[in-house]
Amino acid sequence: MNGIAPGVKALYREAIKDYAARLADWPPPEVVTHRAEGFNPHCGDALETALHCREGRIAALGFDSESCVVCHASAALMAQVLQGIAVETVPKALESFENALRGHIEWPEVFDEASCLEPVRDFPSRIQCALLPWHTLAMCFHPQPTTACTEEEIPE
Amino acid sequence: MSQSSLAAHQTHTLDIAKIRADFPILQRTVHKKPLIYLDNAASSQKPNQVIEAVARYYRRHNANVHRGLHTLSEEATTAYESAREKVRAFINAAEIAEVIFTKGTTEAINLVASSYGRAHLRAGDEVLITYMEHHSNIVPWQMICEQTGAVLRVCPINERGELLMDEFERLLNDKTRIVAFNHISNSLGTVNPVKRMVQLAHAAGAVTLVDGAQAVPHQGVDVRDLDCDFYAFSGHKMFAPTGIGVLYGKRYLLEQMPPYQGGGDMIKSVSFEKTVYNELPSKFEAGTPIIAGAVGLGAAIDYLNEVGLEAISDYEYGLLTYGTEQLKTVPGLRMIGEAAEKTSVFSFVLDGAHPHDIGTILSHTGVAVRTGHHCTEPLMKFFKVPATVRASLAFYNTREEIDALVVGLGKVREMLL
Ligand SMILES: Cc1ncc(COP(=O)(O)O)c(C=O)c1O
Repeated sequence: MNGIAPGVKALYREAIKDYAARLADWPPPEVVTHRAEGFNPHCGDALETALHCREGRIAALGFDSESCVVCHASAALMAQVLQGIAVETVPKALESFENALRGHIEWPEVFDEASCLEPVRDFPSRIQCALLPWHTLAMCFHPQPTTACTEEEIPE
Repeated sequence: MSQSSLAAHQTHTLDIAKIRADFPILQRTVHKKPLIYLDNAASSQKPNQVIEAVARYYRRHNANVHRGLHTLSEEATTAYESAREKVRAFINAAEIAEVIFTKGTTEAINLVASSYGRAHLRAGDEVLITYMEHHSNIVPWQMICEQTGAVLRVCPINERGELLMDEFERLLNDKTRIVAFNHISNSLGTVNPVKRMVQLAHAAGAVTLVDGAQAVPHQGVDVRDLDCDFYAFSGHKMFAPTGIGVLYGKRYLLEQMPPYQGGGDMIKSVSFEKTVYNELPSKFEAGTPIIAGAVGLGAAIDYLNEVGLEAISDYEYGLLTYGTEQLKTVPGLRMIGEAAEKTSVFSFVLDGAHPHDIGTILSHTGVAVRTGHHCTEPLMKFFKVPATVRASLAFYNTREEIDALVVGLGKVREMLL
């Protein structure tokens, strides 16, 4: 493709688009015990995460989302990694995801396919898109859930 | 007006090459591509004439205003006050006392909501706004309604993004105290029938505030012809620096209003027992103002007068028509905002592509657009979209740049779909 910088091509290569498309496989579960909304006012990404937690584990999870490719891919990855894990390990998973996404640590093994998100590092404003599903997940366990917001309003 | 711009004015053509040469930033590249700046509704670029006026002020005249007898302070005061006169003439206000400098549109609206609103609104009174307002013309009214017990009413729009004037008339009643609406919508480009709306509001006994942030860069504004009570706008959207804006208000209303902020400049005399407030417009300008910003705004007005706002409107209408046609050729593109009266704003969504992804890819083709809700969340809800891509034009933009946008959208489709 002519005239497009390699960085953008890397961002939108097939792997990430595949993942984004896979989000369709993760609709909200039938039984929902935890739910939270996330919103990125900067770009209009909007996502609702719904969980079914049973016996201390995430038995099922899914999303309602109108978001960009980066956010969708990140959400689909998150679902794949978190399905079935113990609720108490969620904060740790969230922390490692964020650290690896920002390039502070190597991707832990469970995130082996997350490397498709790496090009996001070159787009500071897009990191928030990748973090939105995770912040929304954290909000699900918040004692008083409000909308997870990736940042303060940016005025025109 | 100079001889050459007089000629341009009469034929309504612009020397685009010359105009573009006045804006140094348009020469730069981004991602190794020439910059194509289509985010003018968010903030416009500045011509050398404005940049130089600000620099000259700091190099030669800088001092505080209204406070010193020394030469620099007198020069700074003259520069600041002559900018006020330029604004007065620009919007055809009756006198300079009616021109108050603010930080921008947002502060101007907050000033009226706080000062006029608090003094005049009682429980059960109504404030009428519209569905297509910028957050800055929604939230200050919500806040003052909450404090006073007044009720906020919202006039709906149709699918093309035009106000439903029947509804507007129906919503006006003897409880309506304030009617606030934009002249031109930042998200849709809709030009509202301001004069008619002001007449209707006045007939109902309400005062009117017009948010002119998106109007002043595109067309001549005559506040006395519109007969609006307040008119607010920002310098940075009309080729002047950030940090300076204007509140126009009719003298008799401004005189009734209590000060908005207290401090220096807004007082005549202060003792611990009693403070006497200053005359208009100083009463509403507490503290040291953004003097260089006012100077820059004056220079931007000179520049716009030189180019000619009528020529600008005509030229931009051509861009609007051309752009609307060209964007129609992009498969899957849905235009949000197709008002009969519209300025050169293209808000749209593309099937299967989120605006944020579109914005990122376009940026790497050199095209700067804005993506998001454009501080008009209620409007996005109305059109059932989370966000749009918005290309907003100024008179330095060209058809070739619209072509580049269309080509860029082709690349977006190749990459995403
Ligand atoms: C219609 C409208 N009103 C108000 C504003 C707020 O202007 P400012 O941020 O300069 O105060 C904007 C800016 O985007 C606008 O487009």
